[in-house]
Amino acid sequence: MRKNLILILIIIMGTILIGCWSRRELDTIAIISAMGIDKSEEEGKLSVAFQIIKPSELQGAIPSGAGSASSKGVWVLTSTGYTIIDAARNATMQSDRKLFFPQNKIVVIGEELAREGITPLIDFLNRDPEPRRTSWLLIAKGKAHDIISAKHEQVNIPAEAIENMIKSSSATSMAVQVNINEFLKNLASPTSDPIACRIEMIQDHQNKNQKMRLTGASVFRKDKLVGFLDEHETRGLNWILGKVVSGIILVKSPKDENEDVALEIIRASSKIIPEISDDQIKITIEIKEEGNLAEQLPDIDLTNTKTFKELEQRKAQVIKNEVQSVLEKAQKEWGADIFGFGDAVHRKYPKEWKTLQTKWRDVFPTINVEIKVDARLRDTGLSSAPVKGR
Amino acid sequence: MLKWFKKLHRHFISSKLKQKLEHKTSEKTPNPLSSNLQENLTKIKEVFSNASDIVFRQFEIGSHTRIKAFIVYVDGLVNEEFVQMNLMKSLMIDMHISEVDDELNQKNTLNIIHQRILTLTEVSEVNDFQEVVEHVLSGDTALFLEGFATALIVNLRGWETRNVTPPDTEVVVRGPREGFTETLRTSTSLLRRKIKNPNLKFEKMKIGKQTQTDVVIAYIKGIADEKIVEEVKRRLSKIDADAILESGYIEQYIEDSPLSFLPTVGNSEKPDIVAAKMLEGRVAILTDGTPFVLTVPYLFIEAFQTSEDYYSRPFYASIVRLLRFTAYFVSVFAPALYVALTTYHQEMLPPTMLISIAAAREGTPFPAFVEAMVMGIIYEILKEAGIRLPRPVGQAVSIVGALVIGESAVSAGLIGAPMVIVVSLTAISSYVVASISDTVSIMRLTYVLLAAFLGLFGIMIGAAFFLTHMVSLRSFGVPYLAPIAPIVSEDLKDVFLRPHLWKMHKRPKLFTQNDLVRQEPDLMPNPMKNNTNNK
Repeated sequence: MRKNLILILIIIMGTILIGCWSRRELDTIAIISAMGIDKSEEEGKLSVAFQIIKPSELQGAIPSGAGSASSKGVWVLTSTGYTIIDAARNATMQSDRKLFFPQNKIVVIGEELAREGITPLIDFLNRDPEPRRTSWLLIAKGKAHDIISAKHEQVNIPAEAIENMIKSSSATSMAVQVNINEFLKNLASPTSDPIACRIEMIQDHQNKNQKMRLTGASVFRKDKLVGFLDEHETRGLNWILGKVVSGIILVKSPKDENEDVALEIIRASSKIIPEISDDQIKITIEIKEEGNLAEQLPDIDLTNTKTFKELEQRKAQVIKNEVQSVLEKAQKEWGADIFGFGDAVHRKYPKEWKTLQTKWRDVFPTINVEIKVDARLRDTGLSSAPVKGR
Repeated sequence: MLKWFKKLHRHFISSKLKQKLEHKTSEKTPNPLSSNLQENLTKIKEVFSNASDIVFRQFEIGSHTRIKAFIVYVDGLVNEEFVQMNLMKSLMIDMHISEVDDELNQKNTLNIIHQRILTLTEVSEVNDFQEVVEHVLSGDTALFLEGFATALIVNLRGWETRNVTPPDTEVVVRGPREGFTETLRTSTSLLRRKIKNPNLKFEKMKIGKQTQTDVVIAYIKGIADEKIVEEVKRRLSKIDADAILESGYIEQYIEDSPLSFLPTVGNSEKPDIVAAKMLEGRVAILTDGTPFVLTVPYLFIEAFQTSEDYYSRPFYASIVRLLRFTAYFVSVFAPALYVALTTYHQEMLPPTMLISIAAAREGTPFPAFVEAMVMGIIYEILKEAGIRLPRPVGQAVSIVGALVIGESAVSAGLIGAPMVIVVSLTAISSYVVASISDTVSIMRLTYVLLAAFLGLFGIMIGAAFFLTHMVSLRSFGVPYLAPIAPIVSEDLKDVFLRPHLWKMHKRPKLFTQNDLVRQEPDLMPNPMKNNTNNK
């Protein structure tokens, strides 16, 4: 009897006295969907833009096509501070709610800031329990604030649009998909250098509005941004990394050099094979690709073995050029091992690696890289002959 | 503080002891009948004084030897026509014209009447006064004769009864519609008609000092565990209550854990369900005056098994059973999870969902916990009002409830729409497992409270606590969560899924160890094979 009463008392006290110490009602939090970090005009300070969702504006919003979408769905709050968390806490001076990071999907860092090194920025995202490491990491060509405050025609929350753009970039394979976790992984590796997504505002010719566009990838050396890859160079990078999922390769028609033929990539894979002979490292990149004939503009029948072979060769050449161009930049110009060559060597030659590791940065630009492309054309789609007008 | 507890405890024990002492003094003392008719009459009139429904009829038997006699019965409990035609007529007219009349003398009257005159089937001789009174009160007719200290008790019962109708609870789509009635004999006959087997035993008891209610313990000898039957009898005989007005009284006196909010005694209104449970080795307790029959032992899992599972084909029955488990968890946890997720763990919701919920919660005055509590309590009030009110008014209540709570509260911005959805989902789900829906209400509100204080941790703590409690429960010696905990692998097949009938060739091991085999192990119907055998 007494025991029971004491037990009940303990349970009641245990629940009630603890209190609701970490309770926060939904109307007391400011849900952040994206954040952008730039250098502040004040010396040594950061300027952070938070894209905060306004649920009241989204109430009953039907995601119907363009036009109904307004910029009202979010509120961009800019705050400055010496670190990110400093800026975030400073932001509460302007916001009626406490910033809530876990639903944040997009982290954009301005180009200028990224060139100075982003380790101090990433630390907060890695250390604090609130932000997720699955957020996409993008480097803005220009200012991050412009990206955060940009509208999108289709959705009320622009961060959603950026996320979907990154996710669907596999349709072209001309962008990279890097989240903070992956970036940290490459950053921690002794030899590999990290990459991040690249985003910029481009001019829309029709209505003079600016709009967001993924335009390739950004390349780091250690934690410092060294340069950007354009879209074809990015696909070259993806060829090496084996991350090409789909996309279109344009080649000149073998029968008419002025006309283009579009070839669709169905599947692709790659192999990085390192070889050490006489202290000279040679790396062979084997790329296998299969594709379909997706679109042809001239009404010339291409469906015969000979032209197919010709198309395959031309396709292989395009792939080779793309790979070559990225190698040129990353290896020769920047000396950034974004391909994971170091890891490949490490795996195959663990003994030699011990000596190579310390001087890998010097060795990397001198590596002899051979590219082997095996491109196949499988199918012609639903029609075998081209569409012909009489 | 502790001293105060000690004092309370001592007081409690001493009062218990007093009760025990009082109990011993109230033993029955024998009170034999007198051989003097007049003495019996005055005595019985004294007992039944101021009872206007008691009928006395004095008369004489025999033409040569006249013997004084009288009958006593309760008006309304006997069939008056039968009393006239079968008792009075045979004693006062038929006897005179038969040759027995000549043999009649002072000594053999009782014997002759019992053996040769009365054409009735249920006649017995009783010597004890108290016993006679009990018989008369239960509807029997007592016949007293001059010179005999014995009364003849004749069963001429007949009173207004309800027909066998489909019960309002436990409605089925497929299966027998009949339900037990308030009359004990009708109920036993319904069971006897299901199980035509001499091993079906009906042991009778009288419980309740004032009400003297008839109670029948029903079981199938050879299948039911003797120990459980003995235990049921022991517990029933220990009941010293004033009144047994419904089987619920008995349930509360014999259950294993009266302090638990979970029921450890089952009940049913349907003979087919009770028969099925008895065939698995359970013991049924039928109470006069109520259609609800108790079945013991009662396990948690029984709430999820319905009779229709076995009447319909196993495939859909299995899906429905899984649905029932889902619905149970929804009805217990949904509001608590909603409160925990929206006030502590916003990061666990998908972003779009979080935004929708946040949009709906925007501008509502109360925190999610208060909303959940208020809505939960309002729902309980609506439910209670809906049951008790007369039908025309009940409709008005449900309209007001649906409109005011469902529509207006949301559009007025008092309560968020998601909470209304959660509460209505919970309410609907709780009726999927109807037999334990009242315990679900208790658990639901407790979990909401815990979630409000500690979020998901609170729910986990609560779940661990409840689970420990459930595991510790026993129903007549059988673990409450069996066959899940402890695992009884043979019985586990009929828990989450409903196997083919020909696969369940053994009775559940939990209730009985003897006569486990129901049927041949492999009775899968195979028409093709049978055809070739015939040729």
